[in-house]
Amino acid sequence: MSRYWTLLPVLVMTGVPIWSVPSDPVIAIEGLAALFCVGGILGGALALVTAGGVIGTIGYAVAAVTAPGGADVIGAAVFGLALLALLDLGEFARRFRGAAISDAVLRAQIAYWLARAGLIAAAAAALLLCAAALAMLVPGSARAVIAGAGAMLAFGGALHAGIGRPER
Amino acid sequence: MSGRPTPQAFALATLLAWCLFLGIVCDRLELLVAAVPLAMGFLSAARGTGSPRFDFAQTVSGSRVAEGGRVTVRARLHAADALPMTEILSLVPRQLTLVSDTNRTVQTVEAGGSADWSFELECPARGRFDLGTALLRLWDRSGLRVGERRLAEAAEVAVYPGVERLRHVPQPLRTQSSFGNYVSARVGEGIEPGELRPFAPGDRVRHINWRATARRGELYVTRFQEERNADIVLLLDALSDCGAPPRSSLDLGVRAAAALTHAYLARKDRVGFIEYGGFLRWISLGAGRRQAEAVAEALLPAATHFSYVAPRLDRLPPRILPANALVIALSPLLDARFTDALADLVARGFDVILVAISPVEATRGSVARSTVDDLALRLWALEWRAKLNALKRHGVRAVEWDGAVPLEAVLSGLTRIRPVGVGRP
Repeated sequence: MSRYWTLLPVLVMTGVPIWSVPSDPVIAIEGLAALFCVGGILGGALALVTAGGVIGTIGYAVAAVTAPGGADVIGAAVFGLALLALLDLGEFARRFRGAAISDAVLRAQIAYWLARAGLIAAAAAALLLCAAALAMLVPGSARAVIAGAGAMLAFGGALHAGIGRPER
Repeated sequence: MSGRPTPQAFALATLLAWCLFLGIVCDRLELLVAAVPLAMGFLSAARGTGSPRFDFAQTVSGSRVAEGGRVTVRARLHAADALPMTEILSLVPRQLTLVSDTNRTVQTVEAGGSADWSFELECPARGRFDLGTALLRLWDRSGLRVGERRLAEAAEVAVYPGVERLRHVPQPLRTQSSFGNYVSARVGEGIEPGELRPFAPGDRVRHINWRATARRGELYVTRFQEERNADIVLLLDALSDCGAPPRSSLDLGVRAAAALTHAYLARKDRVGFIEYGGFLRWISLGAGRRQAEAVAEALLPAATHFSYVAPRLDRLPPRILPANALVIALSPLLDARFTDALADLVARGFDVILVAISPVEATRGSVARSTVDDLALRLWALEWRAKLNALKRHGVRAVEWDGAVPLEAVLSGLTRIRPVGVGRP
């Protein structure tokens, strides 16, 4: 798999904030993020790609804060998927560069990525529905607490699932 | 198998943490929604299932090959448990060159299934190489966890020095007692007529020289010179080496030794081998194919070993270095210890031939061409030839060989140096 495929999620990741708020600061931050990502992809440096992702997220936060309208949840889900795809594709291309990858591996991996993207989209939609329901039921002052607790719970759970699981 | 989180897992955690942090700080839903795919990415990491069971085997098409030959390495991965994504790196020694396909592959194997692949290697340099070691990485499909394992099996390939066929080789001054291909000074049974003498009782009638008998009026018989074999000792200088494999001076010396061994053994001579390096290593004199094999095995690991000690040839037992043997020294003449040993052999009456392997040409092939380098190499060549000429003046029969021309062409100047029957019996 060519590493140039990784440029696609870079375009999406930087394009979503610029599409939301095409202001100079957002363009500048996202441009810097793209520069880091491309440098990391070409140089095979995961740290640079991660830095690019973090800068892109900061740019998206700036865009979200300065956006005139309400929350763009679809754009946010696409942005998150682009971040995930950036790491997946970039690492896959870097990891197996120079190796002979069998067609079965590529087919299975692409199928896995597509299935996971579909699952994530469905989960995001379900979460948004839950959030909308909670917004109607929970008073305004308690929403921030619930959101913060949920976020912390998600982060801890994700860490436990990803790296904290003991080897059997 | 020890599974561990990959750098990708930490990168994902970093991005997730930033999304959540910025979402909470900015109080924006978008960033929390953007964190959902990242969190789901973590959750998608496969549950740990322990060490999967599998067998990995790697075989080489041939365990023996000559320099420049090729071998095919075939690998097979059979999995009892499913292997989602397995990266296999077959370790290839740096002296071998990959010519087709790759030694690094990524395979997926279903439970009970197997995957096969192969790659081809060229073996330009002599030596014994291990081709049975492989590194396996078992990747999780999410790329967040990886397990590693090192597998080692007995798969070895021995690359023997290429043998140049020599039709003519330097003749020894002295022969031995067994039958062979050299005309000795000793008279007896043979096909080479030697001298005439009057008939004596017991002489065979078929040896009567009728022409001489008719001319002199009494019976004369022809005496024949015996065909005998010789003892050849190949003395390889491993004190120094220059140039890059497979064209280094030591490699050329090993090739010359292999060619001379085959040529002399084909003439029914006995051949021995001494490696004169940081320590002495030798093969006793012997004849036949078994000896050819023994010398070839001894030539494989020939290498320089640094030492301040000067090995003493005079301490070798006569069965290793007999007084009547022809000693063929193969040396780049870079170490004075070898030059002294050679002069000592000549002084002790050994029949010595020196094949001086030019270190200048061996080095020229491994350095970048520049005016200064060329000048330095020319000066070095002059100095080296002066050393060679000094040895010739001391009575050493010597030829210079740089590997560019066939060895036989270089040795041709030595093949007819001995008049028939002059040698000591």
